[in-house]
Formats: sequence, structure tokens, C-alpha cells
Amino acid sequence: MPKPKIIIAKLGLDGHDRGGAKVIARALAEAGFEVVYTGIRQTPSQVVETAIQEDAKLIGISILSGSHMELVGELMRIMRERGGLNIPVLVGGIIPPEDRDALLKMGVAGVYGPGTPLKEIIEIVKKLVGVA
Amino acid sequence: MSAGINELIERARNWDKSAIARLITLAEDGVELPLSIQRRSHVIGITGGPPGSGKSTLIYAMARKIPQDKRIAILTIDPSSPFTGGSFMGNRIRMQELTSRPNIYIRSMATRGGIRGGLNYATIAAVNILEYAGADYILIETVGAGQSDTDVKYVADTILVLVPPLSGDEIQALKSGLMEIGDIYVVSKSDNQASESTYRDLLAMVDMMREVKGDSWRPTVVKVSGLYGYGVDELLRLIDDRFRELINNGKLNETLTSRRLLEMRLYAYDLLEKKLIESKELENEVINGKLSPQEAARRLLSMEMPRLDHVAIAVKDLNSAVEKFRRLGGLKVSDPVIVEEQGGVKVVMVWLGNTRIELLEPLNPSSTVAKFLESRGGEGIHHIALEVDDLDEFIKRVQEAGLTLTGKPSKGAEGIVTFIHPKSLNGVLLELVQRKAFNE
Repeated sequence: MPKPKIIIAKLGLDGHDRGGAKVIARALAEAGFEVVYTGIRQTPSQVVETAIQEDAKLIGISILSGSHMELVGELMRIMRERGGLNIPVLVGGIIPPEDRDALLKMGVAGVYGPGTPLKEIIEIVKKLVGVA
Repeated sequence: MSAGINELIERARNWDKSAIARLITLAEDGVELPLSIQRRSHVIGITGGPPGSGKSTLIYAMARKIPQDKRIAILTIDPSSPFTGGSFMGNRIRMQELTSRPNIYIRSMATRGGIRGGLNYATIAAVNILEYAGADYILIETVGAGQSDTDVKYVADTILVLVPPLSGDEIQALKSGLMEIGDIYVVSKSDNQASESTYRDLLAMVDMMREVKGDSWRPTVVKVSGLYGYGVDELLRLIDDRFRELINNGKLNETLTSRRLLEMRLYAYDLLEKKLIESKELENEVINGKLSPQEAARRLLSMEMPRLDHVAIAVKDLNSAVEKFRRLGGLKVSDPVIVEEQGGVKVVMVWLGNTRIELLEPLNPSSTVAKFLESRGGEGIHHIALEVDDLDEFIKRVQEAGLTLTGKPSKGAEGIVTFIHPKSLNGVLLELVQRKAFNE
């Protein structure tokens, strides 16, 4: 039975490795997904390369540093450049409300801040990768 | 779909990582890939427990030091949850720095469906794909389940067993499991002072084993710190020495054979798993007491006895008959076999899903099959064969039913056989077979 693989990565210069991204990764694993956690301080090109090599069906990004516009912009650009990689990207972390729409305009499939219930995230991921 | 696969295979041959990745996913989903493998990769299994003994860090240190004109594939295996089927895969974390190097491909794989010997079918399929894609090194990081993590020896040309310091007590316990399969024992975390005594313990153990193993390769021990890169050069030198020796001794194809056999075994497990999931009907029969768990299991595998073993057809010209069946939906047929019993017949088996058709051509006029062809006015069904698990027991029942046997049980090509005479069974010659496996 096909099992979609998901990448959870922390982009940029951000040393926090205790919180949200790991919790989300673990919750998605418990929901039956195969989740690759890349760890912290990833560059956008590393994340894209990882998604290609893992044949991932979704990328979840966590950014707490405030550089989300630049980093996500670069991630989306590299994904476009690599042609074949057309998979949904979700962004989580500390994202000011005014940046939300700009991220969605870049092609991000969803932006979720602190306090989003895990159940909601699992449902969104299921919908995006097409498992009922 | 099929054209898509061929295109992916073509692209994978040029180390196209996205094609390789897609092919591995297809293999994980159970798709059979038409690859012909020529040995060229040094497949290295990195095993040893417990989890956290330093496997990922060592692989990172090795891959970083292997020359960049060599292609390196890393398969890193994490356990799947037996409850949800999900997996949290964190082995990449220590290798991410290497992700963007053109010569390196890293793939995380979940065990899916239990651990058993530590590998699953998809792992073997992935090794095939990566060897086909031209990897010089394929590094397999096992799940680290300790004693049971031993299937990797059927796939890997070289096994590294990692032993972290302060596992003195475990060395004793490990002797009969992992300690049998290592070609190179690696004391990890050698920046730790305690590593020296672990190293000495291992040296003593390996010295004892050298006399037993009877292999031309002598297992060795190295101290390594993946974190600081210490000892890694020596380890890589040993690995390349070992590979040269395997080539010189022609051993690489032996591993390919054992890999193919493991592939068969693990694929069978996958199929069994699938059958079990689809066997709600049989489960209900067990729940309502109609079948015992054992009967249900045998029925699941079409091994419930008696079963239809084959239907035999007497033919005048075996070659033309075989050709007809071969053309029928690409059926697989066996090579012809000469059987001296029955007065001499030439036999070909046509393989069907769970039974077979046997084609019989008489070799001389005194053969019973030749007489059958004359007396029955030509070709046709000669007999039907049932497989039974206890022939003696079955013969008792035959006699109680008042049926006549043609003679005493005798050794046939595949086991012990006897026949029920057609005169006592509505004109049908019924063969009874008990396979050797049940007896010996």
C-alpha cells in the first residue's frame, strides 16, 4: 500500500531543536506517515534535495527566526527550477499575520502558527497528499 | 505506466536521483522492476546495536572521506510502528551536510510490517536499483535491533559491526548473534576512554573466531570516532582491501545469489502479509470455530491437504503440445525430464497459479502411457494427482472406502506416489503424492 513520505525541516539559522517541528513530525508518524526529520539549520537547497532523494509528497517547514520571507521564497524558487518537484509546502512557526498572504501568494499551501491543534494539521496533510 | 517505468530505469542508469527515488518508491509499493544486475557496487552493511551506537555518524564520516568521483548511496533504515504503520525517521540529521553532493544519494526507509531479520523486500529492491544506477558504494544502515539484525549478511559484501564503548557485558551476549557476521568490528566513539578495553575485548574475540570462520578474510577490529574523523581512513582502507579480495576470489556473484534468495523470501513475507490482511473470510471461520487456526493458515497458503497437485495429459508429440501451452498466456514450463517409471516417459510441467498441468509423452511402446494412447483412442487426460500429507494414512482411507490401488507406493520424482485404479473410481486414474519435505 502506498505510504506518502513527508519531510519536516527547520530552515535557516535557528538553533531551537526542542519544539514544534519535532512534535509535528512525531504526530504525523503516529498518524501513520513516514516522516523524515532533517534537523535544524537546513538551507532551502538541502531541503529540496532531500525531498527529491526521498521522493517526498509534502514538505513541512518550521521557521522561528523571522527570515521566513527570504527563506521560503528561495525554497519555492529552487523547487520551480528543479522542475519535477511539484509538491505542497506547509509553513509553521512564528509568522506575523501580515506575511501570511504573501507566503500563500508564493505558492505555499498553508501557514500554521503556534496553537494550531495537531489533529487539524494531520487532517490538512492527509488532504494534501490524498489519503482519506 | 509501464512506459513510465522504462523511462525511469533509463534515467536512473545515469545516476538521475529523482528517477532513482521514484523507482525505490515503486518498489516499496510492490511493483516488480525489470532490472538486470551486473555486480559493480561494494555493498556494505553497517549494523550493531543498541540504537544510538553511532551508525549514522560513522556513515557520515565515511561518506565524507570517500573520493568525490565515487558514487555513494546510503540506505538508512528506521523502524515502522507496528501499531500505526508510521515511522519517525531521523537518521538523515547527521548526514544532511552531504545531501547536496552530486555523488551522494541518501534514502530513508522504514521497516514496514515488522522487523524479522532487520530488512524488508523494498530494501533489497533498492539495493538492486542503486547497483543498476552505478553506485560504487552502497551503505546500508540497519535498524539496530541487535541480535535479530542479521539478514543484512545476505545482501552486503562486507559487514561492519559497531560496538560502542562500555558494552563489555554485551560482548558476551552478542557472541552468538551479531558477533558471527562481522567482517570488520568497529569500536565507535573512540574519543571515549572506555573504548580501549572494548577494543581489547573485541580483539580477543576475533582472534578466537579466526580459527572457526574458515574464510580467507580475517575479521579485524578498528577504533573509530565518527565525530572527529579518527580511524576512518584506516577503516576505508580495510574496506577497499576487502573489496579487492572479494573481486579476486569471485565472491561478488555469490552475494548476488544470496541477495536474490533473500529477495524471494522477503517478497514472500510481503505477499503473506497482504494475504493475511485480505483474509477476513478465513478469520471469520476461525472466530466461529469452523476452522482451527492451523487449518485456516494452511488454507490461506493453499497448503490445505489434499490439494490438486497436477492434471496429466498424455500426448503423442511433447514439443508441439508444450508450444501450445507456452503460447497460452505466456505460461511457464519446466525443462523436459525423462522418467524411467511407467515404462519410460518424457515429462514437462506447465506451471499454473497453485497447481500444474503435466504433459506425458511415451518413450517406447511398452510404456503405460503408450498403451493408454492406444486403448483410449488417442490423446487426453491421463490422470489427476492429489497431494496428501500422510500417504499411509490416506491409503488406509482408500482401502476402507473399498477402492483398489494399482500397486504398492513407490518413489517418484517428487516424493512417494501410488495410484487408485480407474476401474474402482469412475474411470479416473487418481495419483496420490506425498512430498519428500513432509517425510524427511
